[in-house]
Amino acid sequence: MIIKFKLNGKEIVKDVPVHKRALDFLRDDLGVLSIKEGCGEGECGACTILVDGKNIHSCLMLAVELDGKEVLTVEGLKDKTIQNAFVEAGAIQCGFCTPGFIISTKALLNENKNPSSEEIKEALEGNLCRCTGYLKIEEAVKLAVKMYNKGSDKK
Amino acid sequence: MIKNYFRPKTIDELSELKLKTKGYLFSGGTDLFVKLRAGTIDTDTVIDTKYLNSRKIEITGNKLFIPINATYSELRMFIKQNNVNNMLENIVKTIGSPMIRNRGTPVGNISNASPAGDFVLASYLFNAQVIIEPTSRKLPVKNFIKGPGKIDLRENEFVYGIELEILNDYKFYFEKVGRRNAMIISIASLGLLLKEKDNKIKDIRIAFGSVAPYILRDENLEKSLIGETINEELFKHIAIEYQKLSSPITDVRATKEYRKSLVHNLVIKAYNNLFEKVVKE
Amino acid sequence: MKIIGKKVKRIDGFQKAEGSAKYASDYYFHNMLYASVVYANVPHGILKNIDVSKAYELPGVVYVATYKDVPGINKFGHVIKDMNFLVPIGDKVRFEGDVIALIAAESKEIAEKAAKLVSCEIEELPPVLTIDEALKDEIIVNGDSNIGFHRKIRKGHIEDAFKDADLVLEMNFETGYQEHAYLEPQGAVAYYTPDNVMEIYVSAQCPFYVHEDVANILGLPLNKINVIQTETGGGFGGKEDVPSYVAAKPALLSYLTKRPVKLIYTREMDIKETSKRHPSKSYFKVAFKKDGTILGVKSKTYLDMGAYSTLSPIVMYRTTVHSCGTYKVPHVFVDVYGVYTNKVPCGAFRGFGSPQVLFAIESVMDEAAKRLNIDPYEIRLKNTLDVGDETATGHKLTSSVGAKKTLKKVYEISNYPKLKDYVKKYNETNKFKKLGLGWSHIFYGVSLGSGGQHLDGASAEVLIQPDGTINIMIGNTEMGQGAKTTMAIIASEILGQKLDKISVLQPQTLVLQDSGPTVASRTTIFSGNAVRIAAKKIKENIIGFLSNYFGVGKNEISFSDGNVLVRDKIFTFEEITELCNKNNVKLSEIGWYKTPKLHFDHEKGIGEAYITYTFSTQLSLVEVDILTGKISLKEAWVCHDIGKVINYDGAIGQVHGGVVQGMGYAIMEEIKQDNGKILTDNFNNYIIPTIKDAPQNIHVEFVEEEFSEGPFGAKGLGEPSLMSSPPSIANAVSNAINKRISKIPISMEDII
Repeated sequence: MIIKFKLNGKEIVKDVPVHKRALDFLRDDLGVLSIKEGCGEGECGACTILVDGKNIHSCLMLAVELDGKEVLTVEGLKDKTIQNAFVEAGAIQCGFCTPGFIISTKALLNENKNPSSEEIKEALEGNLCRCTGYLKIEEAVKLAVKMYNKGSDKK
Repeated sequence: MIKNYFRPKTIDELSELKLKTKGYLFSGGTDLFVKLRAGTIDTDTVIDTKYLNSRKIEITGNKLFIPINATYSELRMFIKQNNVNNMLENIVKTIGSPMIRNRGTPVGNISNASPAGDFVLASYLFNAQVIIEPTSRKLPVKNFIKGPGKIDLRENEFVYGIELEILNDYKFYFEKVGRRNAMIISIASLGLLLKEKDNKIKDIRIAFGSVAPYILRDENLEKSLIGETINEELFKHIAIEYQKLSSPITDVRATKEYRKSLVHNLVIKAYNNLFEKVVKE
Repeated sequence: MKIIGKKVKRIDGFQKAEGSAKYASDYYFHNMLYASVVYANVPHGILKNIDVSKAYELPGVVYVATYKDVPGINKFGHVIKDMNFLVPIGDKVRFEGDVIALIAAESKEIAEKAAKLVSCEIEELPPVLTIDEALKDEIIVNGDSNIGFHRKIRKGHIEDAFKDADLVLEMNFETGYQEHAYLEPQGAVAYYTPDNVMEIYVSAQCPFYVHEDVANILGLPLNKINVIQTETGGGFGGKEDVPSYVAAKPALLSYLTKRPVKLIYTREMDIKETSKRHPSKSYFKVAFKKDGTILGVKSKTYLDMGAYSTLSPIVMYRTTVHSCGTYKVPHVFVDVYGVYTNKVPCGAFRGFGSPQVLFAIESVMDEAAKRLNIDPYEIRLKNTLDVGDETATGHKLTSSVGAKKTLKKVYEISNYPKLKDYVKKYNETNKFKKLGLGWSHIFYGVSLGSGGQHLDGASAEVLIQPDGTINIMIGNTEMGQGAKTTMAIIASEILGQKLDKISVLQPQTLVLQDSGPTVASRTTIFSGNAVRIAAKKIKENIIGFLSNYFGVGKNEISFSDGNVLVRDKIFTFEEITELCNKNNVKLSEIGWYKTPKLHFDHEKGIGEAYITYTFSTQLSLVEVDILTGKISLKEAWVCHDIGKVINYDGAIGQVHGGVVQGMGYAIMEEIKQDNGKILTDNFNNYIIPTIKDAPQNIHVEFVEEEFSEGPFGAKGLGEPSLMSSPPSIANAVSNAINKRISKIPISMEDII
């Protein structure tokens, strides 16, 4: 089936087999390698992508469902604030879960410019990390908020 | 392996496809794709319902209508914006994770008819009516769900939406027991709605998840409580009665004995949270 | 120190944040095939027949390999080779994850479909599923007896201890499995290149193990196999020996098809086939004096090895040495047994056989404190090790013993007396929620120790480019713990070059000498020292040249902040390296570090068990819901004596992660099985902590009792960071519910 969608700002038209998961299509066919498969059943969040502004599991989605959508992955992030905050806060260890966390953070900050601790935790509850113990990740999100607020002060 | 993928736009088209192909319907795929992976479902045909022209989430009279394809996130937003059935948010926000809530749907949850389904529990509490097309049948959720994974649906039918009562001035308690604080499939859950007048029960609804083959709710028992004075004694009585009614099983998450204790304790906990303030959160 | 111990950004951070770090699954080659695996799926039986014909009929299937296709030795095993790579007809299937056949196909889908078309006939035998059943030795799983291995310590006269005791405690303990649950599943891509070199890209903690094992399986010389460690998405011990079993599969298929072959495990395969933390059963009998002094420890611990021994005999060594905890114990009588069962083979997991017994001995300490009416803090302070004391194996400690300091630090930062008071008051006014405080005080033998000294050496190559940028290749691996950053810090400290000019490369076995595994919290000491040695050699080369060139004394040359000071002239590091390069100064060196020889009597279990020890203390505050049994870790205070902090942020990160992973082990994570088959085979039912389960705060402090052999005095932290957590949490729960917890994971059912 031929689908047409926007990936990180670029128009893509492709013929995809209907059984193919969005995850496999994006990785194997389009080389979007930041998306990782950690469980394949929507439990770990390593495959999280942003579809029309909402974070979803690309492992629980067919490629054909991307049709007509706008997809964002960390490869397409022009603004590096969240990424810088994760590095700065020491929120990255093995890094396998990191792109998923960054996308979920992006989804959160799109809708909520000043999230509370509780809101941060709720926004990231679907992303598993086995290395950091999460405290630095929460810190990273708070740091990103701070960095954004500083930026807007200047303006 | 999936070989055929359809996107019906009308009720009749969807109905015909379902009848003809025996394919599986999906909207968010948060359940279907997990089952396909685990091999508990095998099909070569899936029907994507997201292209169906359907109504939106809306308030009609004293009912909250939730259509097919409406996600948990959309429902949550609607509840907030319209300040309606706010208690539901406490249940909806515990379902899966943001990614699941952005794709998963209440209609899907009810169609799966799992006794652990959190929205199934919600629909029992809010006396949901299930709206079925193309026959335009409408039936209470307790009649629609016939057992674990079993529903009253003919081969050409599908669930078009659900209608919940809109409830005001109810005290509400919901707890889902699991070993962690997020992404839990409940070991046992309790939802309790209570309207009081002069320290007496005016209306009460109590539903348990994961402690019977279906959501456990006993309307006769509820009726018998109306007019009773609210105190610890009464809730101890309720706890014991529901414990008798529950028939949990042992599975990978917990034993039946533990679940039975939870039925009792969750009622006590609800009482303490709503009336005693002994438990500091 | 210019940079050692300072807060720095991890050097590979941004690469990971932008998703460009390449893990095993991110390797794609032209003409690549995909592999799948055919498992036995029965716990015990005899393989009678394999039929691959139907699989071959499927278009797109290129090769179906069975034991007959193995050119070399079809066996694995680090201590004894008791595990088949591919089960031969006529031989035994010993657990559900035994491998019968491998498939190479043009796509993942075809490979998976083909795996289902391979049929095998297995005559089923009754399986042995518990330690108790195994001990009966009625059905033999592997070898001559199900008790495969025995280790012991015999020191003093244990009966004297019981005779002289005021209190003798006898307690039983059980611990469950723990799955590593690294977010990146196991995987490897193998490419038997046209020039007959087998290239293997693998997620691993020890590429050198993979090197040796694949060479054996394929019958190839070591100089024809290049194992390249890819970015590794967490290991925790789970990628110590297992990557050999993983990588050998695509390696064989690539050898047979002459095409690149990729095998990335699904989470379900990973949980079913690969190692876990050993479940255990322990019996402890401990003698105390009235004042809390320990007189003797008698213990017997059984570890469930599963179907094959893999690393178990080495794991057991650590279990044995750590059985008496961090304490002075005059009379010791410890037995540890490794037992075969028809279940998944267990192996390395952060702590390596010590968490099981540390949970036991730390519970005993708390119980003794309670019976003797001594504070749990005081009883630990009384018995803990200090300079001049001997460990339970009779190892006399001469330096770097910060045990007491860690206890005192935690006491101080937690404001313990006040905290105790707060908990008491809270519990008096709360009916259904109880708080509890729990101490743990543990030690950890750093490095492989006397049991594995033949592997305790490590290599590193440091190369300064003419433009002043630096490449370092170490023989140990980065798997998330921050090794790259730590190595760069060490090089930066010595050479004075800025951190952002230094990159650290993943090891390749055709380039570097076998540096042993990245385990045993040994990387900072081993690779760190190797880097230190190499960097120092280069520094000497440069100084020697500059002193000649400028006619200044060697002591007039110094390096810092990206500059080189030659008497009173400042040059940039880049100017100097360019100059050196033009003058043929040697700017690359190899550093090699090995440990001093340890003396240990393995028969008695007496001697210098490890080169040094890390000492740690944790205090945990938990809340227990009496009505549901739900446990939450609210806060933790932790202090580790790691000799010297090199990578501060990395160290904090290790402790945070360790505390939370240890919490998972103590209260949450459980492998459930039915007839040897793992039911909890993915993250929907093998549940690990989420962000909502992490405590509000983990207060971390370090004590720096320098270890003279360590780089800048450093010891290790990777494992102790986890090990302090389970006993501390279990003790806190016991404290909250006023009932001794003797089994982890703690069941919510046991609480209500």
